[in-house]
Amino acid sequence: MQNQYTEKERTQSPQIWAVGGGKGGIGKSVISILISMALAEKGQDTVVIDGDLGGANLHTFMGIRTPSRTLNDFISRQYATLDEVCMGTEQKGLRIICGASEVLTLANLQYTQKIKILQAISKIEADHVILDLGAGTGFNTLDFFLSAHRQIVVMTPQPVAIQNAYAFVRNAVYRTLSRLTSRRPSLSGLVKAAMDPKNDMRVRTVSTLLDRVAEYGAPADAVEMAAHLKRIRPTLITNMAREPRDKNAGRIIQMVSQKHLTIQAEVGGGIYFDPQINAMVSAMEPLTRVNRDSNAIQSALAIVSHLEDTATG
Amino acid sequence: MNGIEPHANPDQESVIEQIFDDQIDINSAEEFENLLEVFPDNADLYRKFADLLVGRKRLDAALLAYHKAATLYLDAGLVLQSIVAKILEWSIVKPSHREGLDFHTMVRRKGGGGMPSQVLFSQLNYEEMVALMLRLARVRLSPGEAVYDTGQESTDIYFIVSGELTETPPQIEDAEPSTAIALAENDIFGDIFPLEEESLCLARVAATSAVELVKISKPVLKATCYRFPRIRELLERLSRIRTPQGDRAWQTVRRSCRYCLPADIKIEFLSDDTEEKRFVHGTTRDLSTGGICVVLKNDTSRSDVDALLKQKPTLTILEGNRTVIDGLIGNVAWRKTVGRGTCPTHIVGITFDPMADETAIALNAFCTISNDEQDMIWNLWNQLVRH
Repeated sequence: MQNQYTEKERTQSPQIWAVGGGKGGIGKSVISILISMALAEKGQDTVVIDGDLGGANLHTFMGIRTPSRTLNDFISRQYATLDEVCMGTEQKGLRIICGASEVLTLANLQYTQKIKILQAISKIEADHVILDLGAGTGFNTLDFFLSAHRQIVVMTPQPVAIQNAYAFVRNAVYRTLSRLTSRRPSLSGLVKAAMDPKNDMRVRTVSTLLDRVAEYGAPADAVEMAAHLKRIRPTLITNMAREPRDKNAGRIIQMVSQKHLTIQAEVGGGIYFDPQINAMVSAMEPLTRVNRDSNAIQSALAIVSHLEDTATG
Repeated sequence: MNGIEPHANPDQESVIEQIFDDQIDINSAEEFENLLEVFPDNADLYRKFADLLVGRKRLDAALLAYHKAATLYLDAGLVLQSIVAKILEWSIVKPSHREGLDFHTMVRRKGGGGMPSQVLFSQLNYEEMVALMLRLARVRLSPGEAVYDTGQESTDIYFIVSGELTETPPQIEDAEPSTAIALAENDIFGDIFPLEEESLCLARVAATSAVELVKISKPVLKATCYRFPRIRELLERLSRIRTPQGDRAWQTVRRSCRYCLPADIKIEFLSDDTEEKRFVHGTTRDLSTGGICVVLKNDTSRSDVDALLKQKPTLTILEGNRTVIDGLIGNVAWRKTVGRGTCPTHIVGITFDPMADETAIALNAFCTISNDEQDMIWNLWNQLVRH
């Protein structure tokens, strides 16, 4: 299976997509697979990775009951590259790296392990790597999200899911600022204090925080922080839309993020609720068998086309 | 996964909001104290508690509650609300000059914000602030009650402490229908300028919710401004500012407590006698990292609620059938039954025990975005998504 990919001469690292959203049950794994399938359908060699280090289950959506190789086999050095732990799927051009939920230690990944995985991902022989992240806003999840070229945030149109998706984006922004200021105790303290929405300094937005950093005698740091924030451009995708209005959920996070976090998020569109997907998940049938005319796969194709257009345009 | 069940009804009102609006009546000091255990940082609750204590002639306790409310309001940037709480505190025991100066220092330090009252009070010097504080008179209105009508002689200037009103200009013949402007917390209104001449009200202003205002009469303000001309300058400008409807929630800090968007809650506890696990379900819009108010589902029996009170419940926050946060353990600090007849609604207020780091992080992510951010999400959801 692997040969068909390595035969191509690759001069570039794969485009890495991270799919997050802060909350379980909103369809991150389904979206990861649909995007992977859409890319593969377009003739792009694609690998989807189960990045839910604490609760891996992506393989079940591919109809795999017990994976023969997992991410943990790479971490424990049984294999030298991630390509070796890739497994083929029924979809031409799409491979999967299964997660390892039985290995609890992975959920508490050490820094060196995290770096090792990130470096290995960038060496995968593929055009695209889709990283399906776990729920929550833990540092590991945020770091994988922030390291990706394409940052996808998934939500459903319900207010709680929108709030959680926004909290995920907010935490990603503050994680970036915390890392940038980690060696500057005075600035680091300022960033940490600003994370509390009721802070005494009356810093209520990231823009005010940057002003305050500049006022503290660190204008160059403020400029650097602003430059890093420009690189956070999450694409917002609404899953399980039932009506056209539902797709506006992404607009909400876009507007709130612009005002409060000073980042420019992009509305990536929506994927309509598709009962066929539910039925396939319940039956543990591989999602790669989903009808190509289905709403879900058509929406995914449209999203991928839109994202490719915006990347080149 | 690609399927989700409907979650809490978005129309579910916050219990705290219902207490402020007097839809839920808390009529004993003890009950208030229990509720404050669940929401110890809620300035509005302290203010309401203090008002109740004054009604019961428990002035010493009221003094402390007003003091606490004033501090919490100021922490939240609500200067006018803090000043009103301070006026009430100082009406029980007069402050020393030192206390007055300290309060002014805190107002200057913590005040600010873009709304007219916030701008006014955070810019006044000590003498100007005291001059205004001494002259403010409180007014309460019920929904529908008018403050004044178009063409009436303008006698006072008003500051909105809480609640909402509409300002409706008169309909001019053959013109487009006049549009009512919404007025809310921290707005200033009243067509009393110029102070030296008689002036008429240019619009009708009426309350659309329960409203608390403070006002100063025209002759008193004229005398004050004679001594402090900067007050006139500021008030004349600020009383004409009207916030565009869509921007209001983004610009004003409405409450000192965060309100959660609706979420479903499962509460697990052991039965008294058999020690079997029992469950009750409910919804919340009042969730903080310290505690929660849960409106229990209508099918919850009184015996279940009674049993719950004696136990240490474990809470799970759900969306549909899926768990968002679990492992929240606490104590029932407050209980209320509202509605009569065969199907009353039970509400419980639960304080959380110290929790595992992982749970604390999850809860923080769930409810630590600011009021402004939550307001904006909620308003936009109503505008753009709600069917």
